[in-house]
Amino acid sequence: MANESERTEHTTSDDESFASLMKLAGERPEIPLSVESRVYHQVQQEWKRTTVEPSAEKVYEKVHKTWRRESLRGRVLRWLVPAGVAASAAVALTITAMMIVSQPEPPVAQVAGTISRVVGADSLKSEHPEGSSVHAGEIISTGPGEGVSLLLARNESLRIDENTELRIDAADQFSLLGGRVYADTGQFVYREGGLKIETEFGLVTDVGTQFSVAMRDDTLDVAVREGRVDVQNDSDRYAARMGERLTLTQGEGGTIAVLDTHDDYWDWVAELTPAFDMTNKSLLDFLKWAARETGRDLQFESDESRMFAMRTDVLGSVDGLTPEEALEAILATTSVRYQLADDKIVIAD
Amino acid sequence: MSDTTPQVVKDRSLAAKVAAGDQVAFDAFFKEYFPRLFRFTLTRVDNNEELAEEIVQRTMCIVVRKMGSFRGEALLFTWLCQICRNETNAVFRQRKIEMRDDVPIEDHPGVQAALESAAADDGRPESAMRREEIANFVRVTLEHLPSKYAKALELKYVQGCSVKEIAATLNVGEKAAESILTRSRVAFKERFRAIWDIEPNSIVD
Repeated sequence: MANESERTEHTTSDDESFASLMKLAGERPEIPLSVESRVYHQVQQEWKRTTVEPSAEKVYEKVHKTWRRESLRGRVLRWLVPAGVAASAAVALTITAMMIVSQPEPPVAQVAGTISRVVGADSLKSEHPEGSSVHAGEIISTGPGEGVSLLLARNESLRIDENTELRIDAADQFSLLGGRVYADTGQFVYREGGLKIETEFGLVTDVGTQFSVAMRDDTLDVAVREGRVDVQNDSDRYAARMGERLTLTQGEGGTIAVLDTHDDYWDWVAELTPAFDMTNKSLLDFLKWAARETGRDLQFESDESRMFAMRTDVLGSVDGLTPEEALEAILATTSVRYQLADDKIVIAD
Repeated sequence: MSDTTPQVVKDRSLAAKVAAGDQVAFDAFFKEYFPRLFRFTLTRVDNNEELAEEIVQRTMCIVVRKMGSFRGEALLFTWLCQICRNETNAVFRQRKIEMRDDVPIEDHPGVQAALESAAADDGRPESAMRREEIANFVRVTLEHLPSKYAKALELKYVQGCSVKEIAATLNVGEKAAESILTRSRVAFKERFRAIWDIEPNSIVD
């Protein structure tokens, strides 16, 4: 009995010590659901890429390769047939008939988006008229002083700077052959799949964001205005977040520096901003758009000015204006004033 | 697979399924290891959630790519932690973050001193710091346990839940909950001893 009692006492004391230790640690920190969702999405994509489900691009590539092979075989046969006519006309006719029947159709190019704005020479404008579609396989080239703005599926915006060459590989995949592009993929962090921009330095993918990718000589520059961008090549992975600029130099690895979201670096983007559609939009919607497009926060000096912006509809058109010009034009017709601070647009009564 | 199956066997089976493209296995892998790895990483980056997110994502992406090569020489979590440490160093280098030291907390020479002196806690201000250190060691140990065990211990000792409440939370019967609690305590003590080389109770007695 005594042993039993000692054992119980020991167990109780043991348990108390254990409890003290656990209490000391306290509750473990909660992990934000947004973080978990983002990581899940990215890891799952990587897992699928490397294990299951061949990607749409891979399927396209495979089909295209088969089609090319079959076409080539057809051409070779076509050349061989006349040479064999003397030997056997009957056989040649049969082969030719088979070739006609089996000649594969080329795959239809996928529509990747539409041209929403073109800046520069008339030749570029006639080559890419606004509203026309762009397709997978196309290469868009811009010269000095030129720029093209694309509206992609899911309402994403892709802007091509001057002196740039961009190949459209699929609706959500591009190859930057040289120059600079800017993407605004919206704030929908958990959408299925991000935008992919292949470069000779590695693959650039976004996690719901505004960012630019520039490739010049032996340097890749990835600047992030909102959200996060991942860059992956054979040897390493990098991530750049809002307000950061990642520079990868051939043979030297990467460095990350600070870059303000309203820095002059982003100025070229403004001219290629797709027009703001004012249909059924409030002043608040417009101000949010202007703030986002200029890389600034929106701030109201009073609840009254916020309520005013909510209740006021915007009318007319700001087509052809940069976001800052549009801001000036629209607010001139209202009773509120605005001020552009470094990192915010302040709205006052 | 039953609860008594050795962890390493469970890990091998899970890894093989994930490598074969089994979505259910992938979800189970993520559910089990993401929270543990995230908290494990937080303790190494001064609780900077953004850095932890980046590091954990890099780590898990590498792991899912290499999952087919996992042979079970160590536990899956130990493998994850090793890759995580490498990725932490890589991210610190990229971001030019000065590493306080590159010795994992488990191997830090100061840990033993902190643990051994904890029993002599006299309530002075510096003791608060020591308590926080020990709390961190306990948290790290908890992350080395299967999440069900860590959750059971947290429910019982931190939140003060009854066995019935624990059973309901873990979605098991009361007898199973008691059994999980017993196994959790044993597992915690074993892991604590293995990581810190000291009896857990001795530092709070």
